Amino acid sequence: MNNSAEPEEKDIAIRPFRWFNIQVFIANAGLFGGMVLLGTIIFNLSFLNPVSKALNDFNLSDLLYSKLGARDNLLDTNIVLVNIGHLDRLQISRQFDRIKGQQPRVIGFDGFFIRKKDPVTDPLLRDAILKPPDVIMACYLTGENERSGIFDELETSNPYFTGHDKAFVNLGGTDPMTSTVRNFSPKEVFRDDTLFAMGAELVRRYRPAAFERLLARGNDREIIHYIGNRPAFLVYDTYEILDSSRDLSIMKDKIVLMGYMGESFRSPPDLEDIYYTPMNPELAGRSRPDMYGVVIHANIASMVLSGDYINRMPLWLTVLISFILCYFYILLVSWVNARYNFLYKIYFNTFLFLLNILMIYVMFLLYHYANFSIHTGYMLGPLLLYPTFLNYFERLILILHRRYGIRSIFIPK
Amino acid sequence: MARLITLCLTFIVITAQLRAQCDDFSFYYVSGSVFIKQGSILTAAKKNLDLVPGSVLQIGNESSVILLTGPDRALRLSQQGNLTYPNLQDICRKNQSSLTSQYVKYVAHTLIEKQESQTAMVIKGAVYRTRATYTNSLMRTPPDSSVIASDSVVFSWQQPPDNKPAFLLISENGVKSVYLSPVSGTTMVLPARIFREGMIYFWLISKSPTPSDNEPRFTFVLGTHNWQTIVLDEWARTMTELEQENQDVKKKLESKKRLY
Repeated sequence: MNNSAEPEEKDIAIRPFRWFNIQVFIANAGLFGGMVLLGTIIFNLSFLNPVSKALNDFNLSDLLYSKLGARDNLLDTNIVLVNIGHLDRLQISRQFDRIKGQQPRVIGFDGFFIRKKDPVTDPLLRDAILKPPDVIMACYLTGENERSGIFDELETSNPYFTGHDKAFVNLGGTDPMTSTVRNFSPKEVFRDDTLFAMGAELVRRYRPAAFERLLARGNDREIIHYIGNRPAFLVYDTYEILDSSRDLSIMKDKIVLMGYMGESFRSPPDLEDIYYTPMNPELAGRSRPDMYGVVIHANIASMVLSGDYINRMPLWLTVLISFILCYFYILLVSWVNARYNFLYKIYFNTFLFLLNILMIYVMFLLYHYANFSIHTGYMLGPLLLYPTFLNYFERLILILHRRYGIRSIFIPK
Repeated sequence: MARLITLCLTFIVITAQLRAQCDDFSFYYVSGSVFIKQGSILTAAKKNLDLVPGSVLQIGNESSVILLTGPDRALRLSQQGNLTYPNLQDICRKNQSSLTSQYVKYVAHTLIEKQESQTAMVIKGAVYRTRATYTNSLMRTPPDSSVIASDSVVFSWQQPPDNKPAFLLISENGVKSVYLSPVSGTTMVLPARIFREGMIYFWLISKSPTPSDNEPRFTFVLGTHNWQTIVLDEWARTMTELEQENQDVKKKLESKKRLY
């Protein structure tokens, strides 16, 4: 028995070295070098700005949210959204009164009362806001210093209307108005005062343990794991809150988030406080923004509550895995080319296509089931560029072969 | 081998746990007339009540219900009709359908589906219809440019004068045929679920299964559920207002009678 086991162990020990081929390694390194060069050109030439913008704003995981995440009837019951539409201050104060009468745990208000307007209605609104339970008022950080990342200004409602509770409503992305909102910053420091994102602050009041988990992760930015647009939450339109016959008891002990979600749910979406998200039905190209800011904050709060975070693979690990995968891909392709040249010529494109579908599938599985996000560009880029790269590499090897007699598996047959 | 078995078992357990979320339903919020039917007993649904397997959920007109299906997760239903326990489980699980099946369907769909033009006008050219076209046509319901709000679409037409067999043809965007069947009577009811929201459907009664472009066609679209709710709300409001007006008129008449 022992005699038969020994050669097997030896075989396993040697096998990894058999897979190492210096020529494939050089080809792989060349491919990655070419990619870096191409990336530098695309991202640094100003006339290629549209290309770099499009590449920056595209992420394959959007497909998961946009096309593969069908969950039409499911909703999060912790959060109730209330549309403030274009109601006047008196009507908003009535909304506050009715909502507070239902004893929600915490209320967030995604809107601003910049200045005093009316000596009659303003005190009513102030009283409605300041009476318990607390209302977290929105604030907006501006004037970010590019080097230090510190903000210079903080826009808030007029202090007449606000208590001490505020949370910032800034959203992630290079420019949230034009690019896709994929992440958010959980906390920011403004003049020695730590402020939290609206979604995070609401959870801090509602379920502190969940908020602690968010802080313990220690990430500067968190990817938003969207659960859905407005239908994924309990929602009330402007008139429903003002209608005294409407049963609002569902708000008791919930997070209530008030904000603008259109003139009314019946009117078509307008362009006020609305953003592009991965849930947009159009994956790329020109489209309308799809989600109101307040719904994005609700998605953030829902994610923090459930602890359903997306973990990001570090860049160095992504590049390393991509390099290793690409190495084996080139090894396999070269082996098929050497052994079954005819098949290789016919089926190479089909094989490449299937491999891409498989790679995307694996990435989706990781994202969906393991909440693990991998930068798809680093994984798919080398595979897609390989056929073009191979053309040039084979020619180079051919020249070296003719001039110096170098032997290589990459010499075209 | 042992690793493979462990992996398979883990996968089965995870899948079973995911599906287990759709095994218990309890009422979280009820609006309007919602009842639970168990055998011949009818009970009004209310908050915190559990739905027992074997029971049927009856959702009335303009009613909605939210059922808890797992921790902090719920199922919202607002379509009028009866739902059995397995129906509810299907709806719940449909929302948790596996990524693999969705991905395979998506890839197959993008590979197989032909990129057809979005409107018939590109291929067929414009068809100018006059009032006479509508009045002389055999087709009756749904009238031209209808928005369908119900769960079924009733197609009705007049018997062709020569009593020859006719065909009912329905096409999506006037291009992709979705229904073609010989018809003998003058009505046909089709479930609305075979039509997609946001698409324009052209329908016609023709003597030929391949009608010419000159034959008049009626169009209809399928309203979204929200749209249905809006229409029903509006309708209910109008009816209430009319009833109110009616009663006001009656009161006025009665008061006048008393004066006289």
